[in-house]
Amino acid sequence: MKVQAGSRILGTGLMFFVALLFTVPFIVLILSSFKDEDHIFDPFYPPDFTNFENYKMVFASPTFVPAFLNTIMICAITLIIAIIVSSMAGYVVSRSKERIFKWMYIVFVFALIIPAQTNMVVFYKMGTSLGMMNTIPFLILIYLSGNVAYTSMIYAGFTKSIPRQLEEAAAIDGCGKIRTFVSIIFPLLMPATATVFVVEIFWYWNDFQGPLIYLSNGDVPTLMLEIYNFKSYVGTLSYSVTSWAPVSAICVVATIPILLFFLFTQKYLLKGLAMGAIKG
Amino acid sequence: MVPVLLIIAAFVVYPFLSSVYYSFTDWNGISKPNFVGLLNYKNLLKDISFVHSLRNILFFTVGAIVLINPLSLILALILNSKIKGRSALRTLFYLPSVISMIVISNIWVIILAGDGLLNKVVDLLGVGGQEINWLGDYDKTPWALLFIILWQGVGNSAIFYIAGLQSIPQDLYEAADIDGAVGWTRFTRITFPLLMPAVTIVTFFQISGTLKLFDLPLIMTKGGPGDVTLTPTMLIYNQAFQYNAAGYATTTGVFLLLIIFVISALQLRLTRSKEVEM
Repeated sequence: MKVQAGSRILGTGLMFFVALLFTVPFIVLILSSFKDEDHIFDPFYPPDFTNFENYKMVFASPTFVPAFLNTIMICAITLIIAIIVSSMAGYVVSRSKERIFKWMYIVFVFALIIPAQTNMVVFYKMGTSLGMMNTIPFLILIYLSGNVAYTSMIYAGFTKSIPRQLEEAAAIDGCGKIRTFVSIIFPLLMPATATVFVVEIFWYWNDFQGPLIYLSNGDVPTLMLEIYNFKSYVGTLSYSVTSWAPVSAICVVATIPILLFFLFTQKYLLKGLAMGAIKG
Repeated sequence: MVPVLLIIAAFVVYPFLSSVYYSFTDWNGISKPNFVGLLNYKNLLKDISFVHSLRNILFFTVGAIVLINPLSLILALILNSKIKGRSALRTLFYLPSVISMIVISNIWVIILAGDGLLNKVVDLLGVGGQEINWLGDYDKTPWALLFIILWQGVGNSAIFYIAGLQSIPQDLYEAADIDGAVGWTRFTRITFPLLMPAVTIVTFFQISGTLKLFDLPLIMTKGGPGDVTLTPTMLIYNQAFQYNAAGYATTTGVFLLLIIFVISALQLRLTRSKEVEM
């Protein structure tokens, strides 16, 4: 027994050591953001945690605050629309007995695997002819098109666990279809909504491709675009190719909100991912 | 239902059909497109950049499948056992999956650059003779990027394996105990066959994800050195916005989708056929 307990402690210690190695890159990022440019590549140079010069540079960029607000707005609006439309779609798809479900499922999977670049040129042309290029509504439409298939599949999976008798009872009491959905079904789909909420937000927050292509004129910055452009912004200040110290600082600032979100919702996120996979 | 159908019709089906149409034209993005038949497809197969980008992406995809699957399965087995602090461990291993690719790329450039941290550490330890140029060496750069893909994806795959492990009924193990099946036999006869649905899902996401690889090589290496880390999605982006070859870019896009589709279908057939009913 003693040997077993000993090896268990050893195993746990080993796993924590491996996990620590896993997080070294993030530690490097935080340390780099407190170093000055000359010592960024010096691993044993002690960072000065009272020196916020790099962070000051981040907030001095005229596009940083708008980028932050845009990103929050894009996440919020996309999530709200995705939840409304895909909860209804998932519910209908899972309830209809017709063959359309099988057909829709194939369309959903297709929408899931299609690379963003396959339709990029056509999207670009659509955006231009609609006069929506370089606007937030257009980016939101692109996000919705890429994700409603997935979120609808999550809702479809959860709908199966709601007993049909509930809807029949509501129909007897004189509830219309929409009323039944809003006041009975949607509240029961809360676990699915929570899953969609915690899973999707990372996608919108972290996406770089969408803004790079569809917000390319730079009038409407997002956080990830700001990181990308920040390299040349600080480059012009310090006349070096890339000023890694301020770039590290902006990476930290752009990561903290989503990291906090992850730490507070991880229980639901990890469970939700697994459930979505099994039910989907 | 209707809104989702509208979104999918307007932003998935319609663009896809237009992309297929434009892939047969010489469209430059501005003037009227002319129908050129299969010319773009013929040129694409002779396009050395495209052929190389396919070679690169196959390297990353096969590498990811071959290495992430066993590593994340081992991780899942450990994190699903009665190890202390397993929720903290799950958090740490999942962490890279929630950080944006652009941040991850910047971190790893600082570490792997020629005068970067890794080489400095190796120097100071006195084991390195010469600096290794992780991001500028034809032989080593693809492996460096593959390593980052592994680091980033292993925690995510492990979560699916943990879910798979937890769905295996406990009484099967009790029955195995009675029959005296332990250790490796237990794993190969019970655990692994019942995990096949998880293998299917994890591999599906690895294939469709890695074949679309874009941000990481774009920021870290710009496809270089030479074109050893150039990917098809980067190529499409360049064709469309740098060479104004809109029609040709859609050809590459449609061809890439075809490849993803065929490989995914083959994979689903292969792994589904190994799944057993509980």
